[in-house]
Amino acid sequence: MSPTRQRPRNPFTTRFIRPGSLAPRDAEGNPLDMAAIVGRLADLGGTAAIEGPHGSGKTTLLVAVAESLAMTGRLAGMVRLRAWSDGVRAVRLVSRAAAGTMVLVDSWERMGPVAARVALWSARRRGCGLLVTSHRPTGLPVLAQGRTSLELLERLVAALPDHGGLIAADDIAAAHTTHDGNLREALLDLYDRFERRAR
Amino acid sequence: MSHGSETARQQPRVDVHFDRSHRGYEPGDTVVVRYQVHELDPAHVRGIEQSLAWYTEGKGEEDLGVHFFSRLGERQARETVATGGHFSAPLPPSPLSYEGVIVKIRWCVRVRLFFPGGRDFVSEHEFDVGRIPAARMTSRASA
Repeated sequence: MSPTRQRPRNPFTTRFIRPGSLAPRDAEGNPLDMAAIVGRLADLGGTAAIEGPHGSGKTTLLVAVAESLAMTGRLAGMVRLRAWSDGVRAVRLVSRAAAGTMVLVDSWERMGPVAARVALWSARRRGCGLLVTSHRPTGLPVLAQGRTSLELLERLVAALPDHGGLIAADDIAAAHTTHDGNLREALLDLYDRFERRAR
Repeated sequence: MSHGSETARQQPRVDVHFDRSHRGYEPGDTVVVRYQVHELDPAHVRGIEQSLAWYTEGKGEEDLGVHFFSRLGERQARETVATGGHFSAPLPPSPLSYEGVIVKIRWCVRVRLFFPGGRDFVSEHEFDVGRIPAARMTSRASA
């Protein structure tokens, strides 16, 4: 048998569920109006936070904002904080950003307090905006608060490629409950369930 | 699989024909590909990229390797849309196609069409390299 091509395709792979592949949605599962989100960001002065628990769609929304800003030439850059050096990169990006542009930082809670203050001070001085995600309160104006629901998870699953009937409604509900509404973990749980049944 | 940012008004279709009907190759084999682009006016294409690539798919970070790549300029791209395209490339020793539980390795032919305004359309067509059996889950893992 062909090693790969004749097997059903797992729709819960990173390729399909990563930020940028899934459109951001509200807690009820309705797609967000990105023009309205970007407009609200401007109303907040350009510096704000997307807050919410793990797996609540913060990075998905941040990536969608980045795409909207890029289309109008207002994206100075985006940094995902994974290592200490990423914090330095974020501060450097802000300190070189042009006025009127935006710097986006994912996982702001990983910035040290000094680096965070320097980045915020630099953003004010440069006249650029700073949009961050955090699963802790940041003290910044809140652009969006990530919330999840079973309905949202169901809508996300429906938006993915067809699972060929290998995932039932009970699986989605169980994944949501098991992971306390963490959508990323719930989707990876569904990945495992799919693999078990596809073999 | 096809995906792209071209408008619904004009969604092209790319049919790819491999020189082996079962699309199974061994390392060192040469893949010969012919393709036809349908439902697209040749005047609307600005360029074509044709490539052989592998990528990983699964639960974690993804990886990608482009093994063969060529880009056709506007004139050549229009001819290709009108009459069809073809290319061939020998396959490397690795990686081999693999259907694992956590990670999978897939090979594909990728045809990317470029349109005015920076829009594009990508069409991917999988094939296999090697004959590694798909991973099986133990009864404990599948419980």
